[in-house]
Amino acid sequence: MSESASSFIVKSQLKARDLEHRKKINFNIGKYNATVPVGKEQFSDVLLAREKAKQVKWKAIEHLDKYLEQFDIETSKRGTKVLWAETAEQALEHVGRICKEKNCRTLVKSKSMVTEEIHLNKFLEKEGIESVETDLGEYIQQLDDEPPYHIVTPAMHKSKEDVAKLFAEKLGTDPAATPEQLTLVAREKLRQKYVQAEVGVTGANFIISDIGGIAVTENEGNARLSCAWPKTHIVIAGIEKVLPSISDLALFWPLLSTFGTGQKVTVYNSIITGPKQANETDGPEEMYVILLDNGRTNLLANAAAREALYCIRCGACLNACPVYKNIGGHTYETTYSGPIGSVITPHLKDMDEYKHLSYASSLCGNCTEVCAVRINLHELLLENRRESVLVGSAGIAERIAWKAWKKASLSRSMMNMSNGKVKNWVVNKMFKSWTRSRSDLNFSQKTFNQMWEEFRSDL
Amino acid sequence: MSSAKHNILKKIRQALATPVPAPFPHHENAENFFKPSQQELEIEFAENFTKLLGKFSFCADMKELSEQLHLLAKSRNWTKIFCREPEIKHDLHTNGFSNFESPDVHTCEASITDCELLIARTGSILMTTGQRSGRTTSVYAPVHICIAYTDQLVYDIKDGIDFLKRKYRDNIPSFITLATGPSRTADIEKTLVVGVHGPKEVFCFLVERNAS
Repeated sequence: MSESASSFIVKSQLKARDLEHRKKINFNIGKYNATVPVGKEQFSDVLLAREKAKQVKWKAIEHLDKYLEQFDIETSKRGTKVLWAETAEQALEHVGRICKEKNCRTLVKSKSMVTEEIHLNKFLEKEGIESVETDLGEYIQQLDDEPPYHIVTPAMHKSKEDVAKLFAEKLGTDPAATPEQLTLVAREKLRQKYVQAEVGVTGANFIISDIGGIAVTENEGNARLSCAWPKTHIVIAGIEKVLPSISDLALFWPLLSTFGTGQKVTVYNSIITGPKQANETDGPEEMYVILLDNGRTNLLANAAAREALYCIRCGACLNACPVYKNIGGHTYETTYSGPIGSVITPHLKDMDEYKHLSYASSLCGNCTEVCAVRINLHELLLENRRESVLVGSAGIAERIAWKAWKKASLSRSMMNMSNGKVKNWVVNKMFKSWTRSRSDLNFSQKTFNQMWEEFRSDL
Repeated sequence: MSSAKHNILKKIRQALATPVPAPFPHHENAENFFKPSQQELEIEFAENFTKLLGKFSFCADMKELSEQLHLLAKSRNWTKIFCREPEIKHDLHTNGFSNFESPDVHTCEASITDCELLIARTGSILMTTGQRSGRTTSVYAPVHICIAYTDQLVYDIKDGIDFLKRKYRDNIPSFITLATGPSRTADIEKTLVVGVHGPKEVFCFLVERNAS
């Protein structure tokens, strides 16, 4: 078993029994569940909207080379410098070089999962650059020196009391402060940072090919400020974020908002097509867009799993997942958690090291049911399992057991050979790992053949 | 071409040599996903904007706008209002409002901007850097006051995007934002708090005007 897998199993067992954790998560996800139906009311046919969105993303990904080149050409026309990075290291090199050129001491950052993926903050710290997370949830997590718990709601696992205590320890505020007061503290602290910082870093929710722009969705205004005040704006975006046209945003903005937070649209949905232009009054002098592969082309090369690249990171599948709700976001120990994380991580990183995540699913299909762009998530989890067995990463004992199981299940005579008692003994006593966290299976005393005969003679 | 770009594009093309079939080809031309408007755009906008804690006011003309702004500034004791739009300043000045003492957005108590359009369905204000207010004015000021005219109302975001494409063609401004109500967060226990990094209050004064 891989190191990641053993750690995952230990941590899940602990978290699943942590009732305090469960209470906080249920409270937060309960609030999310209450608002999503309100957001959905804006659609005349929400299923049509989701299917259309999948169709658009299909088109974007099936012509990814063309759309990325178009983006590069269009945004370069306005003075944006497009940089490409095959790996996290290459992306960090780009950022490091730009920061050095600009004599950057302080950098403001808006929420971005891709910067988590490449561990940007750790890198900047080593370079002696202060990196300030400006999204409130990320700011909380940075103060606590913890990675985000959830791709949309980074501090979802903290109660307001936890946050008040954290602020009191780190910033010396009143330990009984309310969420309003705590938010105000962050506002005051961060307002100076936007103006001070030499560089602003944002992610991109979408890369818009036809106009050569990137789109950022947020509620707080921190992303807008991060690309308004600093002289240099760096965008880091995964290559799969492409939408063919600015017109697609009329669907994707409301869709992302509804499935992400239950809003019709979030407070700020912005498009940035370049640095300040000659006739404009303010804005950065320079803009860079770093297009990151970091394993995404592996996923693209896998035709069965390719649709996982359609994901718009709304977080709906995390909120819907019974496994996520019980083991929590940190247990995955991956940048992307929940069902989508379990689907993509083995491809982005390493199948053998992360295949265990594909088994952390009840296959209930709720992730697929709630996905904003109708990705067949639970089927992709099964696909991952199949692939991990094909590449031979299942253990010998497991392979033998399944071989025996398959042989027995396919043979009516073998199934008829033993009664319920024997079957119970075989399954409950021999497969100990099955019953460790489940109650015993209880087979019927009669075989299916016997029951069928009785049923027919009763007719 | 950088080697990274070359390698990435090469990998993409190799991968795409195996295509996957379109999931919903029959939706290729689907366009309308949202419920149509049931009422006049002014009312639709006012309702949606107010629901999100925006403060809406209707003005019959510039004179009434100036009076309303004067009353608002007085009730809030504002002495430092920031505005970068020469036309708005001029029009308000002509109508008796010239309280623009703030030299910059850093120290102002409120800012006044115009907008490209209002989106009625979502209660949103569409702004771009094609306007003088730029990137900072509407987001850094503690209070944002937007002045819009009745001929700037459209129903959906799609209409807004179409408008920008027509207006700017190949010269799309470097920054476009669809702003919907005051800045907010729910990062602490999903409790709504208004006024995080952007404005704590957003006003929209809608002034009657016939398309010219």
